Amino acid sequence: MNFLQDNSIYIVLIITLIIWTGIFLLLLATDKRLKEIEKELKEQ
Amino acid sequence: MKIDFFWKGLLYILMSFVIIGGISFPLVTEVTEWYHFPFIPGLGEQAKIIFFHVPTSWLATISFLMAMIFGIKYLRSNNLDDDAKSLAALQIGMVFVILATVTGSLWAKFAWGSFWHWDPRETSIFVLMLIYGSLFALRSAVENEDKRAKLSAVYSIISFLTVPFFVFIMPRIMAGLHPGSGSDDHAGPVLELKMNGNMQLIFFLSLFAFSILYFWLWNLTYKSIIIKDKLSKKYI
Repeated sequence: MNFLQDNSIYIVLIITLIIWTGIFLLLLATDKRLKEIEKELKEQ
Repeated sequence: MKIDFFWKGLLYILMSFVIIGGISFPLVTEVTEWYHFPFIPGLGEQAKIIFFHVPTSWLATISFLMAMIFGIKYLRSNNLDDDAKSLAALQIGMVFVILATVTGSLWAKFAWGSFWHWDPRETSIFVLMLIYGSLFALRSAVENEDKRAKLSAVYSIISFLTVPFFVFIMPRIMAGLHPGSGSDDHAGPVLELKMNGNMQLIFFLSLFAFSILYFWLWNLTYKSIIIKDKLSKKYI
């Protein structure tokens, strides 16, 4: 905590990583949907 | 095809520039070069959060706007594709509203001393999350898809009416800790008057880059929802 207090640029870094994680989760959700579509197409 | 490539290439270049510039450009007391940011007393390096935190709440706002626009479109056309577009916008908006809250709360820990304060800005985003969160509960509770689409369209129109108030008005007129609030008359790079030109450049480039990213994500999401719906209907 003290380290972050003194080097607050790393807070900005962590925040950027959190946002990247959110975008990544959105990609995963789309990926999951596409896989279901693929599966459905294969079953037909 | 070519125009598509142009937007993606632009997104890649702009976002890379914003990440590099937003994190690494030096803070100086006297600004002489175009890549210098002014040192803001009390905020210091923490001021750089503006390049990443504000765009997330901006994206939440435009996705709720798109949800409303396609809600209206659905009510006019009764086309379920418009409902899928509205739903995709709602999902992305929800993710970004959560990201704005989490990043803001982490920043608050170091700028204000604790993760949550019930500052006007925090209260308003919390209420927004409740409003839009209940929309998902509403959607999952209705079986009939036309009825669900209609309810969701009406709800998304009504709830968007609160968005300008909660995002732009209430936190600005009430006294609070958040930069840009009513009692903020010294620090705070939020208002354009107080942000210097170099910061504004990166800030608006960041908003622009995030907006391109948003439309790309939205496109992928609603296309996959529409295809999935069509497929499951075709074979039943």
